[in-house]
Amino acid sequence: MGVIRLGYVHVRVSDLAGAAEHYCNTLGMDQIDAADGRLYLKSWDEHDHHSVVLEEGGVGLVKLGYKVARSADLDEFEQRAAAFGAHVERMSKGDNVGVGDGLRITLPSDHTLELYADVEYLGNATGLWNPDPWPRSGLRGIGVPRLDHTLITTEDPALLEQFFTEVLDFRAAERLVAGPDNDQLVGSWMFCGEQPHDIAFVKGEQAKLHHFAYHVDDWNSLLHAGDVFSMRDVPIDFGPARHGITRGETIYFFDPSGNRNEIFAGGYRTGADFRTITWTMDRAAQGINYTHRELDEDFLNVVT
Amino acid sequence: MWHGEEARATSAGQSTAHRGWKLRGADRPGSRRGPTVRRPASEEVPIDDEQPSGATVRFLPADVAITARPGESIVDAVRRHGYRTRYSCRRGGCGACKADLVAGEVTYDVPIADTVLSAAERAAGRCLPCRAVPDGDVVVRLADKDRLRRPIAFLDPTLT
Repeated sequence: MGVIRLGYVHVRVSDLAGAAEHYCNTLGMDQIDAADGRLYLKSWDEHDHHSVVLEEGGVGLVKLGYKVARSADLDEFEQRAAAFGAHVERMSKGDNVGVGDGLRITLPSDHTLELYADVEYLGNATGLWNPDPWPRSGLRGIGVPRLDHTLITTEDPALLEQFFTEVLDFRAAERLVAGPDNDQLVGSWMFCGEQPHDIAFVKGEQAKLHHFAYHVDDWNSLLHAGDVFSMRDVPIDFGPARHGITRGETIYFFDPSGNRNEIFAGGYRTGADFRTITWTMDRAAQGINYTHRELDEDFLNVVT
Repeated sequence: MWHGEEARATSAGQSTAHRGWKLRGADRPGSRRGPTVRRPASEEVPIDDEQPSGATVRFLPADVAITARPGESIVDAVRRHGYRTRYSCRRGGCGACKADLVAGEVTYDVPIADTVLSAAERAAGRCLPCRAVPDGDVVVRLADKDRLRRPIAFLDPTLT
């Protein structure tokens, strides 16, 4: 029983060809399928059908997909979501290319979250028998191995944290709090497995995307990503730098439609017995950018 | 101090033939291949803009003019000339650079989401300089908290 990971991010892009160039040649994802103005992409170390969907027209988030361990779990999640007061409906096999039956939940933040267990298995690029550490055929651009997490915005972080805790069994790795008694939740970084975060949210506009992130191995990979971005004139938001929150290493950048992406490395290991870490507003800049301790207000305000 | 920088930048913009290292050989000050020639005013286009058909982009309230190459966005031209304005994604997705198009026309090479720049905003003369390509000369008024800066000016001997 439980949510395993962020399975897919479905975003709008203003120009499909430009987006394909960015996600396939700069980041190095592979195009798996194309249908109805949508491209379905997978990173080399991912096994399921796709992890990113690009839909032509506009900018911003369409929906997030999180994979659950068993189809039977969906019944429990459906009951809990409905009891919480969220709008929840069943989605059918084929609603998303390669994805089976599942649930479609409207979060308290007005984002659409899909849960599913059944998804077409394609396997990663190195296989399951005596694998190489990376594809012999080489990688394009950065060669991102996998999706990692996403950060969204909501008017009521406390309510969204409660939803993820009570309905989906997520736990908060870190919380950013405000107020004289440090009891007003500004942001929460939550996990379902053993990562520092599988989803995070900060106070802001409803239904908006702040960024979605790919994982890379280490700091050197981040610097290499930065080189590739400069060569290909990909706009950088900030980084490479270290996060205080999650202890991860980061570089933020924008796709050709202005959706923010992140390459993320490091971070600690969490788990069922992990005790939540708290950051206060006077140290928020350090929490977000531990290296520089300064924040560009556009980093917080710019969402798609 | 800021106004001084603007005045200096304006002055430099008016004598673009002296823009240092981008001058071609014979026109380069001190070049042994030929004397420095003072160009007549009619020819005073930035010599690094190899296509003289480029449009002039005038920024308010600084009243600084730069030349954009054909097909070049306003923000790309700003950056190429060593200036900075407020922008974030540079891809038309965030709206951080949104400004008033006071005069002239712009086109967009890529579709701009209505959620970022609505039809009503376009009709009211708003534009997204990071994606807007001047179609002829334009005048742009930056947002209230935005300003034209030239952070590298102090390093360029032709601008002091």
